[in-house]
Amino acid sequence: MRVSKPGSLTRRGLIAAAAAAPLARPYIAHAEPIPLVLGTNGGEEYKTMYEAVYSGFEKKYNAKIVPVFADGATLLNKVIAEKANPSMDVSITYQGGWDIGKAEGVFERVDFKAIPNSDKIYEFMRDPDGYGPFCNFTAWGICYNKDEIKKPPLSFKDLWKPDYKGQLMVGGVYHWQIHIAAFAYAWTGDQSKTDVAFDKMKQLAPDLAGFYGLTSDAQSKFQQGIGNIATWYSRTVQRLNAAGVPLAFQTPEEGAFIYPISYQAVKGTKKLDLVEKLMGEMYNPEASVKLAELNGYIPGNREVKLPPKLAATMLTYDEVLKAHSWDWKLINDKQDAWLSRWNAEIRPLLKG
Amino acid sequence: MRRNWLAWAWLGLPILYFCLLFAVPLIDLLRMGFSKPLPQRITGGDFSLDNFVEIFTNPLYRDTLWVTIRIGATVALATLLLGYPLALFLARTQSRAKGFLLFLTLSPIFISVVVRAYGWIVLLSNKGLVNSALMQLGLITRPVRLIFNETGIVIATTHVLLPFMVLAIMGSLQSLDIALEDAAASLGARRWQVLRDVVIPLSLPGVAAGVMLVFILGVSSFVTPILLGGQVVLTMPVLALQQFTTAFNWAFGSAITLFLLAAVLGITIAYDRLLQGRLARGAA
Repeated sequence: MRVSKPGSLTRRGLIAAAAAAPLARPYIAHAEPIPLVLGTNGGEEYKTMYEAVYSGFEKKYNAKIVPVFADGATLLNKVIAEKANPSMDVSITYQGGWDIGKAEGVFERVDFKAIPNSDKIYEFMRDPDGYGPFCNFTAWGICYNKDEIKKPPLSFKDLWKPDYKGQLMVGGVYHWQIHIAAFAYAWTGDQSKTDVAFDKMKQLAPDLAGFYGLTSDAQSKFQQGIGNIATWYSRTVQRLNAAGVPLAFQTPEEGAFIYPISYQAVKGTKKLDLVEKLMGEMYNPEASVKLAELNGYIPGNREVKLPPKLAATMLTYDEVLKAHSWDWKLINDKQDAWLSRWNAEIRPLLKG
Repeated sequence: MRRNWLAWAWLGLPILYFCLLFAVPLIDLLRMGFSKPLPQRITGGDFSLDNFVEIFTNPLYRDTLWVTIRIGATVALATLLLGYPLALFLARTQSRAKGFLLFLTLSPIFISVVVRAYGWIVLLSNKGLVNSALMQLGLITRPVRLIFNETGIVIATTHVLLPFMVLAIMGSLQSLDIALEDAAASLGARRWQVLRDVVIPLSLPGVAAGVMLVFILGVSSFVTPILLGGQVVLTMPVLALQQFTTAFNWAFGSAITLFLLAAVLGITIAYDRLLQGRLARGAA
């Protein structure tokens, strides 16, 4: 009987290997990264998110993020338009938008327990209806250029002071609704008293330095020196400081507003488990620190310890708990009428 | 018989294409436009005229329609004034540079609309090239506001739509029998008289097509008005887009779109009838 040397190739061995090859296919297929189609913002936002979260997620779960770039509103419209045959597995959404998506039935509920680290997040981040929780959030208040503004406004009401004439930028398209609700709250203590907010906006509009559309628009206007103050997001401070603009965030006396971001699983996705893992990756302590460093997001995982210098630029645990939430039901119900009013009453007073 | 069948099959393809990509979405737009907007919902509910009542009773929409038509008409006029001499030159020149000049004329079409709009913002902003040059020449003492108003929209839209006007007029001029111009000249007409009495009247169908094309494209454009108009100038497409993307009200956005479509269709038909009458009288 011939005995083959260990490791040598015989005809019988070759046939056996060929016969066993189909059995090995599932393993080979599994070795291929699993594509996860993600609707997300592009540009710097995606770059930093990839560096902080997505790259680690891909490695950990053998996945491959396939991005579809658009702004949040466009992504929501796309998800709704593709309801019958969705092309995305998961999409970034903003509060207000995701309430509409829930009502339209285009999002999938998630198993909260299957989301890694979800037991460590703030209670208010959980969605009461069982959809994707907030993945990260930022505070909305007053941002200002420290070099140009020596005495920053301490409250929203201060923005009407003559000292800040020609310095202030507020949000236009995509952001005007939150201004109306926030200013109503600042002046009356009630977000629904919007007549007051519209009257106050009419006073403010002629003295504005400008308007920002997308969040990146405000960034470029700060860089160009078009304005030195904006009612804007705390998370932008890091990015602008890195770009050489000495921006600071002021929590208004009336309290900042929490602006949450969530990733919602698109109804019909076959990769819900992977979407849940992606959500959990946002709460991963290492990724959270990186997200805070690169993108200024306040960690949703309460146990995350930020380096002291970085922590000093973020809202504290208590400040987060004291911050307000917008009344999105009110905003979604009324925004149509507000938009018409904004276009008719505020827009003609603007300079651009 | 077989040839006939083939001809119908060939015709069937564009008809199918048209039905799938134009008629079906239009029907959907009609359905949504005539549906009742529902709070917290995008697509609207039962049949309703509420959207059109709002459009016809709220002066914002009437004023915005007027701004949109004014911009479209101004752009059509500007492209005609700039485009006619250019088209005439390109149609008549024997220069070897003709191909290059034609490429230059068409070049705005090859550039992304967003890139082109940002290019205009850079040029026309307060610290932009145009204002800086005018100030250095001593023609102005402080920057002229050239963007975030109708002026900026007209300048940028004229740039992008100029090729459409030039091509329409050029086609008409190239089909003219040059012998007619020679005949007029041989009867003593001067060059400007030949142009006024022969060339321009005979090229009017091309002018009419160019004006109509540019006007329709001008009133329906939205990227340039959004970027060059800032948040200040509202046009109907911008209003519709606001409804789709910021108010999430597809029902009302569809109604605005239908209103614009009907208005443009009405203007186009009226213009066409007027022009056909004039041309018929001219021919008689």
